[in-house]
Amino acid sequence: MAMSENQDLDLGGVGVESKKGSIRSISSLPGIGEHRAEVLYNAGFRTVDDVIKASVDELQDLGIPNEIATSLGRRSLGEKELSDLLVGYRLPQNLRVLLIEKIRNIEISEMELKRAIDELLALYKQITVDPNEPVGTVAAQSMGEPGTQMTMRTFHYAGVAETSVTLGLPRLIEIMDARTEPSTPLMTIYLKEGYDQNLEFAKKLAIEISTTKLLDLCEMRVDLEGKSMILEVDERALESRRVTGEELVDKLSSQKNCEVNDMGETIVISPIEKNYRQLQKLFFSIKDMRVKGTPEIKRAIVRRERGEYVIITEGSNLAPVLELEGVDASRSTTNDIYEIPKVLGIEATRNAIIRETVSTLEEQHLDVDVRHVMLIADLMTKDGGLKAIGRHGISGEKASLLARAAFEITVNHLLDGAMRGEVDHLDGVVENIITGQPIAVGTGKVSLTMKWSD
Amino acid sequence: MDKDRGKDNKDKKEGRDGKWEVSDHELVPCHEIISQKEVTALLKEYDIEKEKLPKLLSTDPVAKEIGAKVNDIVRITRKSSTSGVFIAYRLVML
Repeated sequence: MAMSENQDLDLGGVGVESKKGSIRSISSLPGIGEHRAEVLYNAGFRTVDDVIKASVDELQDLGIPNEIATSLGRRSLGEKELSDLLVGYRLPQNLRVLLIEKIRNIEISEMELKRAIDELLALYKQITVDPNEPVGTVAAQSMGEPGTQMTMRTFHYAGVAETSVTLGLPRLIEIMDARTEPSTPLMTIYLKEGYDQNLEFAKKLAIEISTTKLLDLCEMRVDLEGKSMILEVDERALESRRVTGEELVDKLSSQKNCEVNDMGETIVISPIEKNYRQLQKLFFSIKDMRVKGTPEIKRAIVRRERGEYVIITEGSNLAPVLELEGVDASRSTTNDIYEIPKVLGIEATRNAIIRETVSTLEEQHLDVDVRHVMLIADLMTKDGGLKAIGRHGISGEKASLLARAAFEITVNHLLDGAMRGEVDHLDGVVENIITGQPIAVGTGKVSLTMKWSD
Repeated sequence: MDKDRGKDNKDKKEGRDGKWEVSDHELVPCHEIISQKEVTALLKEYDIEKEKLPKLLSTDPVAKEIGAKVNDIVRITRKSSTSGVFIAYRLVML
């Protein structure tokens, strides 16, 4: 066989290019023409891959100008450079961070990097929810199904046997219904640095905020003849609750229309107008009087949690508690979601809903993806306030009459609607199912038209 | 109040008088009022009228803290367990 210079065939395996072929493909790289391609070939490079796997220095040594070598060859990219490169791309922050972490300070060429990014973007696109996906229904089902596996018992003693907390399904329902008061309101009060290792302080604070009622401190007797009430003070109770006699007398004195006399062991309290009616009025107004403590807080216990002292309360009143000295107002929290919009704002409420729901599910050993919970929380807080899911909230605000009638109190809706001449535009899902038409979800949101020409 | 208008609460430490601030709480994300220019760009990108945005009450504790007035648009930068960071917008109303 005659060998001409055009036939420089390598007798090798399958897929080996000829010299001409190699040079042609290498010259397709930006900044590389036939001349440089030949130089590279002679240096041993056969494919585009070979070139981009070379180090920048190697390429420069072969005479390739700096700019081009830098973009073609492998070099180690720093964090800043990488994050600048990623700026234009539509990626969520955590993927950005992940990519940068994996790639920084690794020898990689710009082309390889672009391939990596493209692949990441393709994967992200594939994983992202499709448009028109009925995410609401999916979220509902994703929480409803594990709901059938949840305990329906209202409580069991959680943690240290002393406090009970609503768990499981009843709690989940409480959250979704945006109840104004949970059945077991509870606050977790964290203490500021400097106070959080101080058991004495924690105990004192706990006593300060626990509600102490009049009858916790003394016994009340009614003196009908003298038209007054005699309070027999229990000294021990005063001490254990850290109330002084003066404080007690002061608190009683703040009661209107009465006279308070401190008789040492007893306190005599009587209405200014000495008649039975006033006596009775006075009796009712002081018998449940709160002497000390934050309103609503029935009990407060100190516990040690993760290396610090925290106070757990039975009863919840977030606003005043956050104001107290020593309290860490950035971490202390409550399970009463209704309080949060007024004290911490709607975004905090959204986060609180997510937190409470996730913890309720986790406690039941159920694993529901957080995004379903996030959707619900978003829905409940989208209009600036806390809205329930049920008929007093979101479901009750649907425009469609049929949808509302299908949900609850059927007849009333139909009657009222008929009286008013209401029109149902059949835009939503429920009403279209009722009327047997396609629903505007998934493929139902799309119409197909055939294209005739090219 | 006008002095505080437009301020964001990103790096706020406790107020000078020692009083705690709502935005310090771990449940509260960063709220910032955005400029008119940003508003136009935002509405253009999503092709909506601002009434379609989620709402923020003007009585909201954080709205009050940053001095947001009715018709302002607030950018909320949330930490998200699904995407690291998520930016949401709310229109101030009521």
